Amino acid sequence: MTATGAALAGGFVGFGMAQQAKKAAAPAPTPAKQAPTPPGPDQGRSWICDDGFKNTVVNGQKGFQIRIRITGYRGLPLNCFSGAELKIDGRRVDPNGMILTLNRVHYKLVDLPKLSDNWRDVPEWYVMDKAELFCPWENALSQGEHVLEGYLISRGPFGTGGRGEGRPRPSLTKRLVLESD
Amino acid sequence: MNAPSTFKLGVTLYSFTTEFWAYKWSFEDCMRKAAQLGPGMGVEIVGPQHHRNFPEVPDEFVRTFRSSVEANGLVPTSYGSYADPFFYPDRDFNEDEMVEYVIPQLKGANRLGFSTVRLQYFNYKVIEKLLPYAKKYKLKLGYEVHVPIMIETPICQMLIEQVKKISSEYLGLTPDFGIFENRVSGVPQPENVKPSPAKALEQILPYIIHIHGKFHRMIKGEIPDIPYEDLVRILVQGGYKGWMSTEFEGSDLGEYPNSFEIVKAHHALIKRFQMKYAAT
Repeated sequence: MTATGAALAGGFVGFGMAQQAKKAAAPAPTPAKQAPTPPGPDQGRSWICDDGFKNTVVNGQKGFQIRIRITGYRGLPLNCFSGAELKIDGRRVDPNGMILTLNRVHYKLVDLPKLSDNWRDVPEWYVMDKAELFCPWENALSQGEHVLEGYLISRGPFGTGGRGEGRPRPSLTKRLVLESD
Repeated sequence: MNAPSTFKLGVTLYSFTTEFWAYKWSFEDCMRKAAQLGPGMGVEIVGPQHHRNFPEVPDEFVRTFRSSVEANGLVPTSYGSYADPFFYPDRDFNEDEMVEYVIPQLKGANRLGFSTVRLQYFNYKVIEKLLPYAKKYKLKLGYEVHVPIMIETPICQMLIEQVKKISSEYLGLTPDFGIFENRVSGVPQPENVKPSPAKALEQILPYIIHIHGKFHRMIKGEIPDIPYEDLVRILVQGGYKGWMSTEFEGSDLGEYPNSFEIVKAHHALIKRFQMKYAAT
């Protein structure tokens, strides 16, 4: 189950160029150009959870939060995540202001790839754990239903076919009702 | 029940990913499902899927796993390790890092009671440094032969040559039968990947320490995409006595309401072929 070409490998797809193999003494494997497109967003698994969508304030900054998950089958080093493309009701959210909270620790989402150059110091995002994603927004969202659309940007640390290129998962569209505090 | 004098059947809990991911089945539920497949069932896990803090194996998980193995009468077969060579966004692991990253996984596999470990092929560069740990922890290490590393590829041929040259009881191959998959049933096929013919299994048979019985789709009890009858015949007639973990990877097709039932059906298929060729 290690190849990213397997539909269930999840989290990231695609046989990238076999960069690792190129550097090795052995000849490179024949890389497939691209993994099969799953039948739906993340094999039917949604990175945006059904619960946890609400207005909030972080460090004086207004915004909203969503609860999110890894859609692949295994946990990943947190530095494998580098951003999110997200729209709410058709308007793009600035990824530079997004804050990921995992196991009560806050991280600026776009800074995750720079976490550490020592693998022992890079936290794991275990596959069964949910995280909160804070999204800065100028005004509190109105009560009721909102449309969220987008994807989490991640890459794979292990693909048999080589280093993943961080190609985004198929975009997900989800309608959620804002929770009140 | 397995046919006499043939290989043994188990399951990788990866087969139950759909239910596990969705919190429908807990880890313990998955272990119980494995046990329901038959007495003395082999069980395989995927490190970073089934326990936290990968590549370390937490004490708590060791206790949980061993207790469950005991309670359910299971046999730990293979631990799914990872090389994660692309851990960093801007560079690959160097050789020291590759070794340091795998050692805690080997130690953990030993504490969990496993006898074999699936290695990603990337570890071939540091295998001489890993083998002393394999010996220390009494583990056979098997390079996974997985799409797109088909048997005919230069990488796989290099792995075979290395295994032959080192000739250690602690080193071998773990073929994933997805390499024989010709997706005639309509399962999307990766581009530029040509499946190995069943006969190619004969070349690696002497070096196999474990097998992943991969499949995506079963139709009326048969697997049209993978020549399982030929593969089982080669294994039985070639005297393979190790384990085959059923690895169902087709839950995303949305065709099966329950991963357990499809794993059970795979076992039935394999046993049918085992009986047929064990009797000849």
